[in-house]
Order: sequence, then structure tokens, then C-alpha cells
Amino acid sequence: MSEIMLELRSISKTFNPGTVNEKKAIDRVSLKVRRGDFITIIGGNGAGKSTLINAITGVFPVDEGEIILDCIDITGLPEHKRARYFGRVFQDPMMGTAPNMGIEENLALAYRRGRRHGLSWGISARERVLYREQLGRLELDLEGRMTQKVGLLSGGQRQALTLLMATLIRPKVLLLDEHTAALDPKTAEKVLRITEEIVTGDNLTTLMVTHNMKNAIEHGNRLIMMNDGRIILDIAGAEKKKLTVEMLLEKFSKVSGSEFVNDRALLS
Amino acid sequence: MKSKSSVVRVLLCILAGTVLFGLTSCGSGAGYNIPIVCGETNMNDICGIATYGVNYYNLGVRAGDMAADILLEGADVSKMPVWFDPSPALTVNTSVADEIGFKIPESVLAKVTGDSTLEVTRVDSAIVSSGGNFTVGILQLVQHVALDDSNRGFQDQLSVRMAAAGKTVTILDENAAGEQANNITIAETFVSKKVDLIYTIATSSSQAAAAATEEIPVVFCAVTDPVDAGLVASMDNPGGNVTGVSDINPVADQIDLIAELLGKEDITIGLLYTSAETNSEFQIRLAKQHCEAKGYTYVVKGINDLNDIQNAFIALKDVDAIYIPTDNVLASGAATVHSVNIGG
Amino acid sequence: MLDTLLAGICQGLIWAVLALGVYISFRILNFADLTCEGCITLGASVSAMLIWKEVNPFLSVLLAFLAGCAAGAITGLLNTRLKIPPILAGILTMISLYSINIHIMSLATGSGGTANLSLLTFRSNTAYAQVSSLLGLGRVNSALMFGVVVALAVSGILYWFFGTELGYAIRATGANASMCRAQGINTDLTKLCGLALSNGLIATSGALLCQYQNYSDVNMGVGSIIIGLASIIIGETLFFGFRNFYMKLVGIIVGAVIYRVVVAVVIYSGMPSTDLKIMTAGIVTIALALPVIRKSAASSRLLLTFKNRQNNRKARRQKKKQARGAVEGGRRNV
Repeated sequence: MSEIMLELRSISKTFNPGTVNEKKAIDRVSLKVRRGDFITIIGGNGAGKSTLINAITGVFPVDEGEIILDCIDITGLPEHKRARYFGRVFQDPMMGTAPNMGIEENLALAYRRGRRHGLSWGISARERVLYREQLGRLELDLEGRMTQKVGLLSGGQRQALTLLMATLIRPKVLLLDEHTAALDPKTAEKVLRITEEIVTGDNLTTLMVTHNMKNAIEHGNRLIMMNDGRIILDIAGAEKKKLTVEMLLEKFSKVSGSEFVNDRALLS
Repeated sequence: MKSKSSVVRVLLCILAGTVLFGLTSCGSGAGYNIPIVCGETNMNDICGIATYGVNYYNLGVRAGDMAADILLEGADVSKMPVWFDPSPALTVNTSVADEIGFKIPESVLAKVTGDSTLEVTRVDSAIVSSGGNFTVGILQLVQHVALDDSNRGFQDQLSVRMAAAGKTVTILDENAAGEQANNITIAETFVSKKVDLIYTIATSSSQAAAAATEEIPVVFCAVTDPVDAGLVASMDNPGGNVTGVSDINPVADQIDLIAELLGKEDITIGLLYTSAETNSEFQIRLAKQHCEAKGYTYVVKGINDLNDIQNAFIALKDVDAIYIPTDNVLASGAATVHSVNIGG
Repeated sequence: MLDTLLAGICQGLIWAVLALGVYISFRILNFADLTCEGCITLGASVSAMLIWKEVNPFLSVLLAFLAGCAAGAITGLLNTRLKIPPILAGILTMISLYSINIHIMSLATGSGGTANLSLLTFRSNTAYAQVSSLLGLGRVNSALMFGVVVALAVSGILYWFFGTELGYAIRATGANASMCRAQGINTDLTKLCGLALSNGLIATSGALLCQYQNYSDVNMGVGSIIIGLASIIIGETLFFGFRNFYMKLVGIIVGAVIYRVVVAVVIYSGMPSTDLKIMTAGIVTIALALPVIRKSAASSRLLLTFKNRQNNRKARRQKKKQARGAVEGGRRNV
């Protein structure tokens, strides 16, 4: 068992190459994620945070570089084949669930993540007990509404459910892509609390993209800042514990040579 | 480097445009002006120069007679031969001939006998909206000039026969509007209404009626090959509850007419038809056989829909004349055929 | 009249199988698949051709189902592999089926270009005729029994199928493809499966229809997609509020039956059949408008409760005033 869970070896991705819309979204990014790391990723709009997550999960192939997951090269695997290793929560609460299916049906899909879908029953009585117990952990009163359509849930409830779906089968890496950005502050706080519980409770290796500097500082054992498709700051351990928002801003302007222009990040 | 390639591109575009323009202008501007002989008179009126054509009104009249025989005289349907017109009248279309600059020989003109449409005066009093001595259901596949004619001819003649016998008839006139799902629905409605006879116009409508009942007499019209369609066991001996009138046209006579019109035996005939129509396919088979027997050269061109007409003419531009059988798609596009031919 | 109703129900049960197929592509997969019009004829052609070749009529229905599956899979491949948009992929398969159907029917007659294949000479060899002679019932009654059995069997199988892991994956694909990929589902494959199943059912419906009406015709698919959609919409409107998946399927069967019965009744009543198309449009429009009408009715109910609330508030205010008055009065008394 290697100590490194996920390794990115100089990966790059350019969108719309050869056109006026050409955009180098990530530029020779290298990163070693240790087993059990809880890394928060921060950066302005267009810094390449989400692209990095999508490159890891295989939404698109990378132009160059390699992605090594637990000593296996997954660079060439299609998205659906990588899915078994990753748990994902998206920014948009609509993205992570099937709205016309019940809560338990969504969980059943997650329970079979990465497995072949055959002709045995989509859900069993034994599973229902497990789901009820897991839903109880969320403390959102969802355990009594297991057959209800997910489309009827609120954004916060959906994100919490997606989080549960992402971790129902222990993923090698949990990837959270601004998963609280679309929620109101109170709900966002609640979802973050649940996230912290699940991640630390199960000791999951996690990458959490956020636009909120305070959250980035408060959570996790390591912080990465991105700008223009590159990692410009990587702070871990004791040094991270001492961080404040002001220090982070100062470091940013020193490294990037510009002001951190993102009101959203400052204000929240 | 970049500017050079774009210059080449522009030049290529201009070249392609010129070629296309040239093609289309010689395609539509000049016209083909090929003499056309059609399988039926309705189409001949629009784009043909002459034909021995079945007259759908007359077919309808004949079917009306058969229906009257069955209803009034109790004729045995199973022994009632399928009727077809053995010697349809010759009609010429001098205006189209003039337009394409073709001179119809005197020998052909001499054979024309005038309008062949039978004169039947409908007796309105014999057709009552309800409570007639007999009830007849009419199932027509789709609105179409030829099919409408055979419907009218049927009703006219039936009314005459009913009036002569001092009887009345109630007619339920239904049209599937081209949607075949309605064929069987209409046929079964007639069966549940216990009509005395069903008159069907076009092949699939006739088949639906035949499927819906084995008791009620069915008289069909506008079916080219009723044996192939499974409606009758044989033309002379139908053997069931179904008989009627075939709209088969004298393909051999029509092919011979082409030679007569052109005044020579060494000819190349273009055979144009819709490849998806069973009836047309059947006629083209007959046409090919006859051409081979007579030693005429032929070029077959099947189309899928009206959009292919232009291409068909390009393929057939060197033939002496074109033969178009009784064909639903081409009949509905007769005006297109004509305008492509004269280059309008 | 009763006969007309029964005949309408018979046809409705056949079209119900098609409607269930269309439901899978349009509603479950969210894929506007126009393969339907070619596929119903494919089923009819395959079945008719096999009956000509003296194959068992029930087996011919099964083989027609498989042919339909293949057609659906081709539409799926065009969409997933070649990235052709759904409507165009369906149209491409539909138009190529036109030629293929003629070739299939030509296999029976041996002459090229057979666009209409009659089963009238094989009429005792259709599934309906065999059921009829087995049960000793008339044409319509036996067809009714057979139709009910087929519709129940198909809906039962679908209910089971969409309760399996694969069924779950197909349903999720239509709802949210990116979520599916995140859950490790190969959405290309599930789409393919769904379209194959959908078109398999449509072809099955075509096979039954051709054995019922005793012919297959290359143009018989015209208008079939509208019949399918109308059936779905009528079913969904009538069975609105049923959350159970099986009841939704039953709703579609009922929708198809109602549609055909309405057409039959309209023809029976002697309405000029030239107006059939506008009537079809009318049925679909009414069915589509019903949810809106229902919503506006509901909102007027909401308005009512709002008024009630206002009245209640007024009453409460008055009560408070009275109470205050009483207190004040009491004070005065003190």
C-alpha cells in the first residue's frame, strides 16, 4: 500500500485549441495526494479548479500528463470506468441525482457504483435497512421519505443526499466541486458540517474545491491555491493551521504578482 | 501561408459555384422535352402526350354495377370475376405535345374517339341519409383525384340501379386520410354496423376490409393486382366474399403506342416509376417483358419521392420517350414531372 | 355499437404495445426517437414475411421484436458513436427502414419491390386466427382476450425490467446522464439498451397489427408516432397522481385503448372522416391542456384559501379587540 493515493504528473488541458476561444484551462499541473489527505482547493474564477476535478474524473481526456490512482494509471480510462474509484458532488444540486427517481432508488444506483448493471433487482430489502440507517446520519428526516422523488427535495437536501451517495461505497478519493456554492449560507453550513463528519469519520481522501477562503482554511489538512491553470500555493500541516484570510491574500499577491480579485471569496 | 490558402479556398468556391450554376442552368433552363406516355389518363392530362388510359370514373361505374348485382340480384360474389377494362380509350394531349415540340402522327390522332367517360346521371332520390333498403360502406384510402373519381362513379351508378329497382341505399362514405391505422378501424365499424356491402378503394383499404369480414360482400376498386394482394384466389374465380375492379392498364398497348407515336421500331424507352410501389413494380415488370419481346431498348429508373424527379430526368435525358405506369407518387407529382420536362 | 367499442379496444391493445415502446424512448430515456414510423412497418414486414415462409406466427412476433431491437440499436449507435442528434438519428434509421422493409417483404414474394404483403391467403395462420380457433371464440372476442394478455404481459415485463439494476440505470440515464457517469454507468450502453427495447416493442406492435389486419404495407407507419404520443399523453393525464410505475404503464395502455375507441366512435357516429386528423390534434391538445386547466383550477382554490385566511385574520383581530375591550373594561371595573 503506497502512501500516495493520487498523483497527477504534469497534466494539461486546452479547450477549443486552434480557435479564438482557445483556453489553457490547466497547465502542467503536478500534485501528490497522500492517503487520508483532506485538501481544500481555492482560486479565482477560471483558475482551473473545476477543470482539475473533471480531468481527474475523466469528464474529458487530458492533453498530456498522467493520472495515477493508487499505483494504477487511469489516464486512458473513460469516465464511467473511473467512477468506481471516485465519489463526486457537483456544484449544481441538480447534477448529482436523478430527479424522477426515489431517494432509495438513487442510493441503490450509488450502491452499485462501478459494478455491472444486470437483471437482478435494483434494490433489496437488506439495502433499504442500510439506506435508512445512512440517511439517519444526515439528520434531515429523509429516512421516512425513502420512496419520495428526489426532484421534490430542496437543494441542500439534494447535496446532502449526493454526498451520501458519493460515500456510500467508500471511494478512493472524494471530490467535492464547490458543492455548497449554490446553497444559502445556513444550508451551506449544514452541508459542510455533514461533509466534515463524513470525511473525518471515515478518514476519506478528499479534494474540496471552494470559493470561500474561510472554509478553505477551516477545513482539511492541506490547502492549494490555483491561478491561471497552475498551482501557485500549497500549504499543509502546522503552517496551514496558522493561516488567516489576510495572510492568504498577502501570499496570493506575492506569488501571482496581482491582487486576488474575487469579491465572492472575500465577502463570504 | 494562411492568406495563400484562403485565396485558394475562395477560388475553389468560385469554381464550384460556376460549375453548379452551369449544371443547374442547363438542367432547368433548357428542358428535356421528352415525350411521355403515362399509365392513366389523369396524369396524361397534365404531363403526357397520349395514352390508352383506364378511366377511374368508369371503373367506379363498373364496380357500382357489380355492387348492384350483388345487392339486388343476389349474385354470388365468389363466382363474380374481377373486371378490368380490356380496351381503354385512346386520349391525346395536344397542348403538352405542342409545348415540347412533338408532332403527334395523323395515324394516332385518327384513333381518338373523344371523351370516353361514361355518362351516368346520379339519381339523388335513391340515396338517402338513413334508413335505405340497403346500407353500403365506402372505405377510401386517401383523397386523390383518381380515387375520388372511382368513388363518384360507384355512387352514381349504384343510385341509377337502385332507382331502377325502386329501392334506396344509405351510403357511409369514409376516408382513412392516408393513415392506414384507420383502414381497419373503418372496416370494423362497417362490420359492426352490419352494412350490406363494403366498397373499398385502393389496395390496403381493400385488404383491411377483407380482414375484417368473411361474410359481408366486399367490392374493391383501384387495385392493380388483386391476386397478389391476396384479395381473390384468381381473376376469374375470386372464391370468397371479395371481388371488384382492377385498374390494370394495358401496359403492352401503351408501350406499342410509344413506337407508333415515334414512328419507328428502333427506340429506347425510359421506364420511370416509384420503386416502393407494388403496383408500379408489377407494371414495370410487364413493360420490360413487352420491350424485350418487341426488341425495344429500355432504361429503368426508380425514384423514392418527388425530389428525385430532376435526377431521374438527368439519367433519362437520352431516351426517345418515357413511360410512367399508374403510380401514386408520380401521379401526385405530375405537374412537377411536366415542369422539369419542359424546363420551367 | 358494442362491436365498434370492442373492435376499438382490440386495436387499442395492439397500439398500447407501441405506446409503451414510445414511452420508453420519449419519457424514460428523454430521447425523441422517430425510428418508430419505420419500425412498426419493420415488425409488420418481418412477421408477414415469416408467416409466408410458414414460420409459427407467435415466433414471428418474437423475431419481429428482435428486428425492432436491432433497428433501435442502430439509432442508438448513430447517436452515441457518431454523435448524430437524436431526432436526426431516428429519421436516418426510419428512412433506411423504408428500403429495408421493401427488401424484407420481397423475400416472401421473390420479386423485388414488394411494398405490400398480404396475409389474406394465410389468414388461418395468424396468431389471432390460432387464438380464435383455440378458444372457439369469434374474431373480435378472441382478439380482445389475446390483446389483454399481451398488454398485461408486456407491461408486467416492463415493470420487472425497470425494477432491475439495468432498468434503474436506464431510467437514471434519461433523467441525468452526467450523474449516471459519475455513478459508473456507461450511458452509451444504457441508451442503446433503452432504444433497442423501445423499438423492439414498437416492432412487436407492428407484427400484431399486421396479423390483425392481414397485411403489411410500407406506408402503414404513417402517423404512428402521433398515435403513440397521444396515447401516452391521454394515459398520463387520466392517471395523473399515480406514483406507482406499474399504474403509469397501465395508464398508457388505457390511453391507447381510449384513443382508438374515440376514433372508432367518431367514425361510427358518421363524422366526416376528412376531419379525423383535426380530431386527432384536438384529442392531443385537450390531453395536453388538462394539466394547465387543473393547475389553474388549483390556483383558484389557493385563492380561496387565501381569502379564507384573510377572513380568519379579520375575525381574529375582532376577537382581540373584544378581548382588549373586556380587559380594559375589567380594569375600569377595578
